[in-house]
Amino acid sequence: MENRTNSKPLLAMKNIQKGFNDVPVLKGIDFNVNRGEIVAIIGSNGAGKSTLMNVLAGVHHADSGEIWFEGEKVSIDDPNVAERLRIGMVHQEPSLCENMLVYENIFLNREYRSALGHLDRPRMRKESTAVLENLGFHIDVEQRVRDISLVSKVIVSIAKAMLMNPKLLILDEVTAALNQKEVEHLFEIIHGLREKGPGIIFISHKIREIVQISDRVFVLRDGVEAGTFDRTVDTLREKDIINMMLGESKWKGEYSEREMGQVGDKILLSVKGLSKHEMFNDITFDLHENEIVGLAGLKGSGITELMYSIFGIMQYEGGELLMKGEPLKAALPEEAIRRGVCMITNDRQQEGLAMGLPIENNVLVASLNKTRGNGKFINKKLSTEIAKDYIAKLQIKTTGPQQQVQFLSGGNQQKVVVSKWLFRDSDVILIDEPTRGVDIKAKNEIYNLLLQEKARSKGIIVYSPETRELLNICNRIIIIDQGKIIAEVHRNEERFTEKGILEIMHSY
Amino acid sequence: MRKGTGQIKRVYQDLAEKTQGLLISFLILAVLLIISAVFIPKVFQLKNLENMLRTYAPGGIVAAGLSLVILTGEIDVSVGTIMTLSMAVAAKLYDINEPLTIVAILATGLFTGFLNGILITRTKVPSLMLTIGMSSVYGGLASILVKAQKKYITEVYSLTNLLAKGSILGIPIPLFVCVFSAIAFEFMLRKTAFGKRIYYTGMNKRASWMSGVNINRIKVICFTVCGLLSAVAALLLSGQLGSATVQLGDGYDVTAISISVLGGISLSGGVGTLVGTLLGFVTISLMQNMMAIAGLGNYVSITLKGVMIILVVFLYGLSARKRT
Repeated sequence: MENRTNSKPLLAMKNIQKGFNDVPVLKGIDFNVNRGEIVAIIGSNGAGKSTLMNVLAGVHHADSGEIWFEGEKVSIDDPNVAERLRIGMVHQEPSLCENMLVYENIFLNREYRSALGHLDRPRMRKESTAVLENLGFHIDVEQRVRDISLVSKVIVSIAKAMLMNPKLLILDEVTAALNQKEVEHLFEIIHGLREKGPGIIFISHKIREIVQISDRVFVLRDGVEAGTFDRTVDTLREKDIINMMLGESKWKGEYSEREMGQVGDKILLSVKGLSKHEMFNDITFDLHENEIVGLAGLKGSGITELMYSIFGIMQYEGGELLMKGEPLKAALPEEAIRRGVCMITNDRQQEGLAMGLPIENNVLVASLNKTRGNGKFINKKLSTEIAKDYIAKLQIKTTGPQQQVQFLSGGNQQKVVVSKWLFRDSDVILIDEPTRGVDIKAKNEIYNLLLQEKARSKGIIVYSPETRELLNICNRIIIIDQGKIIAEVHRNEERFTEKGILEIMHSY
Repeated sequence: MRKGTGQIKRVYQDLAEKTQGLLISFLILAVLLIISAVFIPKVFQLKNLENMLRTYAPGGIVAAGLSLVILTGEIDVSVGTIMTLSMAVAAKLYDINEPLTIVAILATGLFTGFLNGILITRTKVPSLMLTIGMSSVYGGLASILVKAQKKYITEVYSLTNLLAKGSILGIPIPLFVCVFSAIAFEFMLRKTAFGKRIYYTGMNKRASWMSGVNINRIKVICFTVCGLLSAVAALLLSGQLGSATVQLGDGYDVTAISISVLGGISLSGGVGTLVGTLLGFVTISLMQNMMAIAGLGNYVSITLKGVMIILVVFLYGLSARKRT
């Protein structure tokens, strides 16, 4: 690494710190990129990758620290500055207009005009073709974007970024949706690109790809640099990188030895070959009484869609669902709920709560027939008592059951959503990221509640991006990649460790 | 100095809480009362009050139904032409059999409201756009039905007359209908699962749906009730006028919306009470009555109603922004 710092780096970020709501996310990062170098950034979810890139792209402003670009100190306080410095970014989901032609997309907002003011299409066509051929890619630029393949879309996005002749190019998980062959193709193009001089930052979850393409690997862990591997000095090994991502945390034994109790014999929910086009494919597993099944997967794995389909928010296209042996069509959440399935969503603002209504209404809405007492009408006293019970049981911090949920903190709001479904007392609980935006204390409380529910013969399916959380509470973990089950790891297995799961997830 | 404003703020918040967010409506009503007490004391004569509330009750009845629709987060601006259409249907039937005609009037309101609800939940066209369209459809149909006669009911029919001009226990029947429906709805909103679901749906449709609430059913029922009450209002209004014209329901959409809004029903749904709607009804009626007595007439009332809608929504928005 020393030999490279002799020449001034293209980009030098120094002691970058950034926090959100008093929670530090970046705790003093030093990060350099040289001209003609491919630097990979890797780290598990929440390590601070996207925050660091957003600081660089001018989306977030660092709390402290300096950014030097081409030897000059710069202040990137909005995305236009990044553009002026010729820092280009290609996102994981190509942000192209599907209905427009390839060359129109490439020249979007940079259109050439003729002397008369109308679009100079021949020139744009010619130059688009040239940019793409420069990348070693041949495609008819007069096709509509929706008609070209996914890898072509990524390349077109790169071409679009190339048009500004970038000095630094950030590729943010561009390989997420590509298959092996497409990735090879893309890598050839990226290698060719490097020859032309720009520094490249490559972000990916897939360690194998990173080992293959990068000159240097920058490992982030909990907002600090965990270490760097330099190809000129070190041999890049997947194992070493994973070890560094995890730090000295949890090795085998810690989870598998904890007593989890017996899983029941009775099958509650049976998922048989469930498929939905471009979302998930042939998903099969059973959920038993007294069991927590974890779903693990990277972004775009199709897990949310799978849960939505079980709960009736989306319609699955193939396969079958059995709830206690009886088919569950799940055309509507209403039906799923009636049959004893509930879902705690990850989007409490849009899908979980009526923010302007009191805690009481939110807790009761899914089980209003339980609030009548013996009479025909809603018993106000009983309703308030129920709400108070849950406030006490889940330790919700509030002024009382009549407080509007919008005035609660994120963790307490999440507890209200959980209360709603605990009160409904469904047999099967689906939970999509139960602890998003929730502090550690509330996190643990919510997980303890889930363990209690499990002990009451419930079956629980949980997705979390934090593998550690899944390891803590699940009987087994099903790993899903691009909509397919790629592995199932039971608690008593050797590889029921963070490392084991991450290895499967990142190297498949 | 700062302590003083802090105190005022606290008193204000306290009042706002005690009046369940209706402070602004109360203030407007108070201002109107003071103005009339000073300049037009005639307003307070019992005879005038009775007359006033009877005359303007149809607007209150429409507003009671419309409030339910607005609480679900939708809107129905076709209430006026539903009124016109209901009476157009009645035009030919009156001479055959009056009770049957009244049934037909109510059925028309019921059906048009139901149709609005079904179309909105099935087509997902926003209710504002859909009911603007349907408003034109109903108005057009009414004119076709009566072959574009400007005035299509010209006689006074006994039962209709009795309903419009009679009293129960000294309370004018139209006023009675208005107050009764508002109180019945208030009870439903507070005491039944259906009522709770209306609020929840109005506040967050998707969360409601994902909590197992059949939001389409709720909307269709509310639109149907709104249509039915519009027809009831049409019947009583035409009974009072002793006639019905192709302009019968004109302006009642705006009147009903201004009553609801003045009553604290939030146009974004999920907030408000029917008791508030009653308050809005009294306020709008008083305002119209004052204009009439002062000799400023109907056109000034119409203008003021529009101003009030905007003013109230603005003031509520202002106080909501302060709170957060």
